[in-house]
Amino acid sequence: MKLRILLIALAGSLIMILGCEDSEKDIDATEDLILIGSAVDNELTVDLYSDEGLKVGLNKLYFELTDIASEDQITEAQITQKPIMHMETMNHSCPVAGPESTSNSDGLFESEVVFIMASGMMGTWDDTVFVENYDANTFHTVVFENLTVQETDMKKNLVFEDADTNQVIYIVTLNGLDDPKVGLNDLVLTVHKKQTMMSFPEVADLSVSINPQMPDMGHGSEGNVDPVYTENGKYEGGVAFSMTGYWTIDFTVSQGSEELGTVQYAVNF
Amino acid sequence: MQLISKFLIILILGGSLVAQTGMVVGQVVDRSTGLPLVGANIMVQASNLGTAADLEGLFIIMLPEGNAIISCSMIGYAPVTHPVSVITGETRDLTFELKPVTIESKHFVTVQGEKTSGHMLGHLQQTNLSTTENLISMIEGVSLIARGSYAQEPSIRGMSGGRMNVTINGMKSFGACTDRMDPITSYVEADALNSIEIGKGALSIQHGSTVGGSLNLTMNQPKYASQQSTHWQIKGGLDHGSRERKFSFSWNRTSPGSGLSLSGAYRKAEDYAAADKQIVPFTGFEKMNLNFGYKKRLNQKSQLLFELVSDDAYDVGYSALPMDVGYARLRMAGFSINTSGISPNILKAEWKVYGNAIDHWMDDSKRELLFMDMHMDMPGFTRTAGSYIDLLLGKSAQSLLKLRSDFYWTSSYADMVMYPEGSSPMEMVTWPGVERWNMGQFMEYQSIIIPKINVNLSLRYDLFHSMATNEMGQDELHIFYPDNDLERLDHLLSANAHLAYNVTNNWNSVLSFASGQRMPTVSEAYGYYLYNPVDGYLYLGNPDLPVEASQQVEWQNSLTSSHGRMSLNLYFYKFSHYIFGQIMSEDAFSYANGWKKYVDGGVAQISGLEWSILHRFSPHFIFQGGVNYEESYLDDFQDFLPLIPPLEVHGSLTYESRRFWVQMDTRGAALQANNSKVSGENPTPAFLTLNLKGELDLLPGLKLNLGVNNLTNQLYHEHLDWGDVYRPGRSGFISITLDNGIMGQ
Ligand SMILES: [Cu+2]
Ligand SMILES: [Cu+2]
Repeated sequence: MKLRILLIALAGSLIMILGCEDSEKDIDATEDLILIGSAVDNELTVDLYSDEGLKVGLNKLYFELTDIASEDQITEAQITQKPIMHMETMNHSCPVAGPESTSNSDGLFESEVVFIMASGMMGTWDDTVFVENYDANTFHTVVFENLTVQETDMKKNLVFEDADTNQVIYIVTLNGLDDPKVGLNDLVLTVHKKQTMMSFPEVADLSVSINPQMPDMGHGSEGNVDPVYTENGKYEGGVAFSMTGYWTIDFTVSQGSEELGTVQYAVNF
Repeated sequence: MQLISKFLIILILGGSLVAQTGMVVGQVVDRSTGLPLVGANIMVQASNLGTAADLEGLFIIMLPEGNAIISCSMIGYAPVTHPVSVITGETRDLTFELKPVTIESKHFVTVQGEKTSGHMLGHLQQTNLSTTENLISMIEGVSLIARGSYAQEPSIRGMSGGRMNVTINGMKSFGACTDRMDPITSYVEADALNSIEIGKGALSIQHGSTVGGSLNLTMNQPKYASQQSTHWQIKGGLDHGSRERKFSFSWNRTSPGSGLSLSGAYRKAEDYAAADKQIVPFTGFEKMNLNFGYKKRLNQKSQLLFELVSDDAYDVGYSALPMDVGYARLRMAGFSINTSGISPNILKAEWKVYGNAIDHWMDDSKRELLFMDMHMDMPGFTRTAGSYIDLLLGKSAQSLLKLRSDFYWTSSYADMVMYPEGSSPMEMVTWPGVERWNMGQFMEYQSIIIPKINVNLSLRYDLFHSMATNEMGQDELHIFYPDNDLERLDHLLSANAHLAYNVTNNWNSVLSFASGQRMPTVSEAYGYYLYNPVDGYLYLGNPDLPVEASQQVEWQNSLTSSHGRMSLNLYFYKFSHYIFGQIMSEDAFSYANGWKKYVDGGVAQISGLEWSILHRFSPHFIFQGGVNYEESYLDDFQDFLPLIPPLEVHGSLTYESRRFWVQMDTRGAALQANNSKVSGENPTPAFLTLNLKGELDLLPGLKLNLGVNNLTNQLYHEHLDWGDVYRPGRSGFISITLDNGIMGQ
């Protein structure tokens, strides 16, 4: 009897030790990422990754550059990307930030893209990427075609008139609430101005207030954090859901002393 | 066994008698139960000789030759005197049978060493379809908080809930309703009660640390008998007003070595009518209670006891709340071994282990969507298990040390799901799986310095470990307390001291000091948006709450005579860190007035008096009456405390004879205008009600009870009633009791 317990204990600790070793094995930075596409140009492989499948809203995109001859990762390069949606009557781009010319510690170049429409019947997305390899002083161009961008209802337009009564459109997306929970949920709001079909500069000087409501019960919640500008058109804050169910979240956007308007989102969980 | 030791004492002491004196050996017992009365005072009149009865109720006193009058007195009993003539070298045998006069408070009782019996309870129990709560409310200083006609919550001097410690046969258990619909007393059937031990404030801390008081419900136990016998009883009753039907039975099998008991009760009531003939909706209920007990002698000194309690209530209406109870269920088991006289210094020892489970399901399906046009489910449960060891150390009743080491674990969980039509269900966890461990050490020292002066000192230390374990519940509370790990460790220290002085044979004066502490309850520390219909606010728990503490001074005087008893208690409590709901927001909810958070409310005070009298005018006529009054104040909020009873008067006049008795009793209260504004209280008007009841022995083994409640058909509600729901109007009741009394013996 005692021997059996001892054996079980031994086996248990063995499994634990093995398990630990397993998880310590060289973590590939791209293992948790999704490979969107791979393209080759002039002895350079460009791999495009994202955290999850591409969707309407804020997406983090990662570029990995590998020299085919030496199989070395390239960590210093200037990458410029231009996502374009090809629709029947027109083409348009979307807000983009980055990447920086230096890769992160995993050798990946990070960037942010806010897709403003889903791919499908309406059109297709591609991403044209220009690379200037600083080490080899070479130039490369690759195109990732037919990107699948999932629809979400996290993109809204905030439309208002400026002082000269010109119509202005701010594109607002809400991110971070894919898997909402009861309690405080971190969220990221992005705001970009639709300047032309190809230019979407960030809007950095807004003040945003948050107001979640539960219409079925007629109450809001305590403990919300108004989103505050961080970088690249992002406003980070938090929404507190006091219970599960159907919630609306109003973001009231002001510029200086002027209230531009309110965008409303719905969350159901 | 008591007889044996008495005989032994005579034998041992018989040889060493001093020449010019004789000896009186006696025993003091409770006349109604036959149990020994530990610590009863024995005085020789016209002398300063005296002693006290020991643990078996025995005493020995050496007297000079001649005639003497010996008086025996004990708090809660009518004193008795016996003449005795002492002859040198001889031993006189004497037995004092004292008759209890009223239900006593627990600390008195521990000062005196033995709890009193439920004599007065006996009367009430048989009268009508009374509930455990009815019986408790007859005790001085106890009121009931009503949310309907069922499961009223006891309140000692205006303190209830977490300020009180309620146990069943010493076993901890905790209600499973976030709205306090199920105080523990609601799970015990009045018929199964043996007695109620009550401690006021921190004057009794044996069963746990407390600031407001303790209530231990002791249940009927199986009995031994010199011969094997069986006793059964069945009762049936009907109340006209609520059409309440009640059936109960008890069955006892006794033998010299073991006892077995089984009892049960079933009651079902419809909605009652108030005095204005209006039906008060949602006041009906259905309840079934079962008790089982088995006791076995292991040897001359030891025995074991096994007990089971099961209670089920269905479709209980709560008129004052927006919802009812689908079911409320208790399952409880206890096992104990006790032994006496293990060694010369360990007089008694008991070990008990127990566990219980309470399940509660609130139901609003019978309501016409009163609450926000949607139905909701609100289940909750608690699980509790614990154990304690009691030791009584000492050589005689002159000086005793009582020790208790106890431990329990309890877990509480509750949630709430609402179903809006055509939308997603909404769920929240209201008790986030709170686990609490408590380890306590209690010690009490009592000493009879001289026959006139007793001292009693108690000390208790508790260690509590509490934490919220449910993940969703943690996330909810982290909205408000982002950096709190929702886990806490608390050390609690309580102590009290009583000094009892027999000013004269008939006048006993007790001065008591106590310092108590209590843990915040699960709701107060971890509750999440609990709706309180009294003030219409949602309450948020506060895991940072400090431990609430109290300082208490009390002066009690009682006069006893052969005709009766009169007592006056004066008391004062000062609380620090008084836990109180503070308004945080008034416009956050469309369906509530706002929300409150439990906070450290600072200093609160309660002071008051209790006066009671019992007088037997003649062998047939007994009068009993009492007056309670108290005042409260919450300094920081410049407000009164909520649910403080107003000036209350009660009295009864009983005519007793051999085959029947009749009792007229009254209960009244003055206007309560000292209302807690923060809690949204309103003044409650004065009232006076009258009840009439009686009992008649028709035949041996057949008894009839009849009565009318609210004889004058008063339309009234009490200050502690939630939602100002009217109490029942005039209603007659009848019940019949049948037993094998004479036939079976
Ligand atoms: Cu809600
Ligand atoms: Cu309930």
